[in-house]
Amino acid sequence: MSSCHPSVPSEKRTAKEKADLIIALAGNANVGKSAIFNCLTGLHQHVGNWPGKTVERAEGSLHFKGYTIDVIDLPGIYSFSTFSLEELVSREYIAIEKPDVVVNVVDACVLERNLFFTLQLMELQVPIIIALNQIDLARAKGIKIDEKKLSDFLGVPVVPTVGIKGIGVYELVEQAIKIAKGESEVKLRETQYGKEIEERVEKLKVLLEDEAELSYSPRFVALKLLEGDEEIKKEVQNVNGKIVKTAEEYAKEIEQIHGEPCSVVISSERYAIANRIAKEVQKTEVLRKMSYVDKIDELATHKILGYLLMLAVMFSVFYAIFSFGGFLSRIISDFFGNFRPQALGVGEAILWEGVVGGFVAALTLVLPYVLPFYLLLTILEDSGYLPRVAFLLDNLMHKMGLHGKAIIPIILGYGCNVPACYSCRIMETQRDRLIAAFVVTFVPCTARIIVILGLVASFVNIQWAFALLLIDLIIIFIMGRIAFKAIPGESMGMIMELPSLRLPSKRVVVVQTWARVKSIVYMVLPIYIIGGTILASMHIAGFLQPIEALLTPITVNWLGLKPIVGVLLLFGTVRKELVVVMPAILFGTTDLTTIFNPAQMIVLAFVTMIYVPCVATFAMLKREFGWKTASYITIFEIAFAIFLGGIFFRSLQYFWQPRG
Amino acid sequence: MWLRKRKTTNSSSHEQGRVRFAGKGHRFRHRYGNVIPITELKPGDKGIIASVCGNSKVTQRLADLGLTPKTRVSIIKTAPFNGPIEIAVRGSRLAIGREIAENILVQAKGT
Repeated sequence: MSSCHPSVPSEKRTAKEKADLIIALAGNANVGKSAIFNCLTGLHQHVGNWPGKTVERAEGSLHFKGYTIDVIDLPGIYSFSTFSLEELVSREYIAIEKPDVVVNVVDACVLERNLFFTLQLMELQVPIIIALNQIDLARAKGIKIDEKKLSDFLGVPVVPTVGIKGIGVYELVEQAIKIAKGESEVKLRETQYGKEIEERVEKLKVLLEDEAELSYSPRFVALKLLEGDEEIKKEVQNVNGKIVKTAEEYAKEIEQIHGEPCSVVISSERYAIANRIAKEVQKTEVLRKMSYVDKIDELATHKILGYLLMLAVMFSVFYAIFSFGGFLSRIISDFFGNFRPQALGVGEAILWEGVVGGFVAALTLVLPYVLPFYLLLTILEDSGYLPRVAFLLDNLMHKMGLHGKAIIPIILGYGCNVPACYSCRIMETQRDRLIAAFVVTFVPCTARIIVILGLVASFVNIQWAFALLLIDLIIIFIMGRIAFKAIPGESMGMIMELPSLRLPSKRVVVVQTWARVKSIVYMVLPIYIIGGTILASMHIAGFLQPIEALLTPITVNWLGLKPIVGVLLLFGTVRKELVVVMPAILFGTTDLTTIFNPAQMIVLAFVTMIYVPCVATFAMLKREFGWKTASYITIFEIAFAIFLGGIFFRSLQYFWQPRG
Repeated sequence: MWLRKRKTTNSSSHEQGRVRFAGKGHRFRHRYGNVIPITELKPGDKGIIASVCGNSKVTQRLADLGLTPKTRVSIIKTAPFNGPIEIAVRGSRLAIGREIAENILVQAKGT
C-alpha cells in the first residue's frame, strides 16, 4: 500500500481505543469503495472488478491529524429499496448507527446512475460528502465533470479521487472531518418530485411528525411508504396503522394518475432529476475510434470467439500452474531432499518429520501452486473479465437452475471454497445461494488441485490431471441439475452490471495476491506442523493401525487403496492437501511412486476431490445455511465420493496398465 | 412534464404483471403505438422503454438501475443460444437474462 500511504498515515489500533469519528463508505456496487477503504485503513479488503464483492461491511481505522477514525465499508447498493439484504443492512446502518459522515463514493464514469443513489442518501438527511471516484478513467473516456457545479447543485462537498492510487483521499478525509466537527456546513438540497407526489408526501409528513419514534426522517419515511417498502411499512404499522393505510391509498391514487406503480413513478422522477443534474455538470466528448479495450471487450463476449477465448484463458491458467508449479515444486523438494539426516532417535524423528517435514511440505506444495494460481485469479478478477464469463455462460447455468452470475463463485472456488461460498451472496434468492454454494463445494480448490498435481500430474501424467478436472466439471453440472430439481424455492434471472474491462493495476494485483497467499500460509503452516507432529507421533506409537484397520473395508476392499489412506483421508478433512503432505512425512520421501501405483493415485486424488468440504468450508456452510444443511451436504459428499471412487477404481482396472 | 400529461388508456396486460410473448415477430398495440419486447431488437438498435412487466422485485431492481419508462436504451450484444442481452442505459452497461428482458417493452427507434 506504499504509494497510498504517504498521503494518509494509518496504523492498526487496539480494539479498546475509542474512535473520535466514524466514517461510512456507501455507494453503488463496483465504484471503488473498497479501494478507498484499503487506502484509508491499510487493510486488504477484497477488491476486484465485479459487482458484489463486499457482502458484509468491513471495518478498519486510521489516525489522521490526531483523530482516531473508524472507517466502515458498506456493501455496494443501487438503491435503498429493500430489494436485497445488503440494501436493508446499509440503510439501517446509516439511519440507526448514525455515522458522523457518510462518504458517498460515486463513479465518475456513470454519474447519472450513481446520483440516483446519492439523491436517496440525501433524503435520509445525513451528513454526506461525495468522493467523485475513478476520475482518471472518466477523463480517459472523454467525460469531464464540473465538481464545483455538482457540489452547488446538491449542497454537498465533492472531492475528486482515484481510489486505487490514493489520489484525493487526503482531501477527502480532511473535508469529512470538517463536516463531522461542524466546521463546514452541509446544506442538503431537497429533491423535488412532481406536484401530486409532493402533496401526498407533505400530508404524510404531517401525520408522521406526530410520531416521534421513527429511526428515519419523516420525509424519507413518507416517500418509502408511497413506494410500498415492506420494512418501513412494518415499522410504521407498529406505531400507527392508520398512516400505512393512508399511504396505500395515496400510492393507488398516484398509480392511477400515471398508469405505473407508484414506486416506478418515484424512481422515474428521481432518475429524471439525476439526469438533469448529470447533464448540467458533465461534458462528454465523442470519442474517436474504438480503443483497444473496446476491441477486447468485443472479442470477450463474441458469439463464437468469446467462448474460444474463455476456454483458452481457463486452459492456459491451469496449464501454466500445472507446468510451472510442477517445475518449481521439484526444485524445492530436490533441494530439501539432500538434507534429511540418516539415523534418527524416536524423539528426533517425530520432531524432524513433523516440524521440518511439515515446513518443507508447505513450501514444496503450497508456494509453487497457490502463488501462481492466486496471481492469475487476481489478474482475471481485476480485469473485469469474470462478468463477461457470466454473460457467456448464463444459458448453461440456467440448466442448473442458476443464472450467469453463479459462475463467479464457481471460479473463485478454484482458489478456495470458503470465500467462494461466501460470495454466493451475489445470488438474489436464498435458494439460488444454496444451489450455488452446494455446487461450489465440488469445485477443486487450490488444496485439491495440489493433491491432483502432487499425485497425478507429477507421478502419472498431466493428461490424467486434466481428465480429473474435466470429470469434476461434469459432476458439478450433474449435481447442480439435481439440486435444481430437488431444492424448492424461488429463482430470479440475471441482472448484472458489466463493469468496464481494464488493464489490471499492478499494485492491486500484487497486494491482493500477497494478502491471499499470506493468509493461506499463516493458516496452513501451523496445521502442517502440528498435524505432521501428531501423525508422526501416532505412527511411532502404533496408533495408526487400529484406525487403518477400521477403515479397510472402505479404503482397501471398495476403493482398492492402501490401508494408510484411511488416516490420510481423516487428516484431509482439515486441509485437503494433507493427503499428499502426510505420506511424505510418514515415509520420509516425496517420491510417492514408492507408495502408490498410478491407478491408486488417480482414485485417491478423485476421492479427495469430491469427499467432504474441508472443515473451514463446513464452518462457512454452517454459517450461511445452518447446521442441518451443512451436515446434509457433508454426509452426502462423503457417501457420494466413496461410491463413485469405488466405481472409478473398477473402471480404471479395465484399461489401465500400471507402468511398473 | 411528460409524466403528468400521459393518458391512462387501457393497458391491462401489463398492469396484471406477467406478459408472455410467443415467439419472434409478435407485436401488439400498446399505449405508445408499436411496442415490442427488447429481445426483438438487434445489436446496434435503439429503443425507448415503454414499460417493464413482471415480478415486482425484478421491476424494482430494473428501475433502480435506470430502466424507467421513457429511458433510451441501446442494444450492445445478444448472447447466442437464447442467452442474455447486453444493453447500454444511462451510461452503464447491463447484462440482462433473456426471461427478464422479454418483459421489458420498448418502442423501437430507427438505427
